[in-house]
Amino acid sequence: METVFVDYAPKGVQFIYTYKSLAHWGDWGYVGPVTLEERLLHIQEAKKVLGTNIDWISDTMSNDLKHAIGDASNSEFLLDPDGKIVQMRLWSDPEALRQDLAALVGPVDNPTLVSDLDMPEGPPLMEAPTGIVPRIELEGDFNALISVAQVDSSPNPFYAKLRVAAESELLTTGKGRLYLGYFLDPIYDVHWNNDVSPVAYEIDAPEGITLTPARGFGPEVDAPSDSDPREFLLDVDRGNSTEPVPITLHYYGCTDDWCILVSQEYLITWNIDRDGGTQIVNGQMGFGEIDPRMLDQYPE
Amino acid sequence: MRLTSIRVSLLLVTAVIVATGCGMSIHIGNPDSDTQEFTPIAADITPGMTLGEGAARQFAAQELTVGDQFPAIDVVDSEGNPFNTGSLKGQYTVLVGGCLT
Repeated sequence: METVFVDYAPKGVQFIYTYKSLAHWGDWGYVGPVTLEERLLHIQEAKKVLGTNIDWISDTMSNDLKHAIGDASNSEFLLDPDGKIVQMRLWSDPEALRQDLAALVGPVDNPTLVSDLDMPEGPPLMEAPTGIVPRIELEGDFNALISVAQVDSSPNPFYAKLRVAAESELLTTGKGRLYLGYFLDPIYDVHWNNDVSPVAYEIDAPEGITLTPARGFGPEVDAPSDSDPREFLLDVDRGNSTEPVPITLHYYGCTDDWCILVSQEYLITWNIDRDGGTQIVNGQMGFGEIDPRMLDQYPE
Repeated sequence: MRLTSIRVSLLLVTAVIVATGCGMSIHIGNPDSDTQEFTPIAADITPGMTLGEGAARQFAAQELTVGDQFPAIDVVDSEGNPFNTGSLKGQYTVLVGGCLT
């Protein structure tokens, strides 16, 4: 896309990236922002990491633009000067776009190649080591749930972000497993300091819902610091309840210069997050078959 | 402050957990989450369809099509200033969905 931009921006074509929810939560360590301010920080990070000079706009936190234009992660729209759509694609295709623009605006004599540009190589590294704390290996199918960070009740940024995923059976029968993953947010350059107490969570379940264990601690880790997610797998019986579940995480947010104890809350809903990105199917991260029993679990 | 000198006992953390867990007032901050109505994203997503196929079907099934006016949605620019996508006029514009991952 950057090569098409370099060739056609001088011809008066405007290029805009639209920032929306993450498609691959946790890849490269990046996790979903919980505030618009964090999305704007992500845009600055994206400009640096992707090495792009294209302008960005940010979708709303409720992803209104994404929903209005087909809900795809990497779609592409070409608009004419009246704001009407002249081309639209599910997946961005720079070469096809180049042909579109050649027809509309005119061809370019010597198209820019990626090798002509000084593009960054590879993802950035996390601030602290990874691969120290073993990850939970999930078996079966898990769907990301909507969880709402209670940002108004915390004086601190959410240095660690919660990823919640429910086993299919939990959503269809009321009984099953619930995955909780706390991922450090690299935009804050924090790490787990393993010389202080480990991460702890507590759940104040509504009546009629049991989550076991309702309180838990992360592992004791020998390494002084790391950036691995802290993961938990709970057994849940929610009966017929659709009541959201409050969860509080207690942890130390630490850099090399400071370390503070933080307590932050989320509200876990039982709605599948249509903006939650990839899900786990047969124990593998990715896109798989939709469980027909899941079709009524998507909130509008 | 040397971080290695900071060691707080599990009992202290447990005490914090108990203290903060009492009497909390928690609200749903995202207006979108207020709805408890469960409806499929798109009626023509059918059982057995892969999510990739579902995404393609959903994209194809949306009301938006070539020749339509691009939707006017209130978003923000990269500096956080209000921006409406209905203002994308006066030149050819390429909009591409993106994120960090």
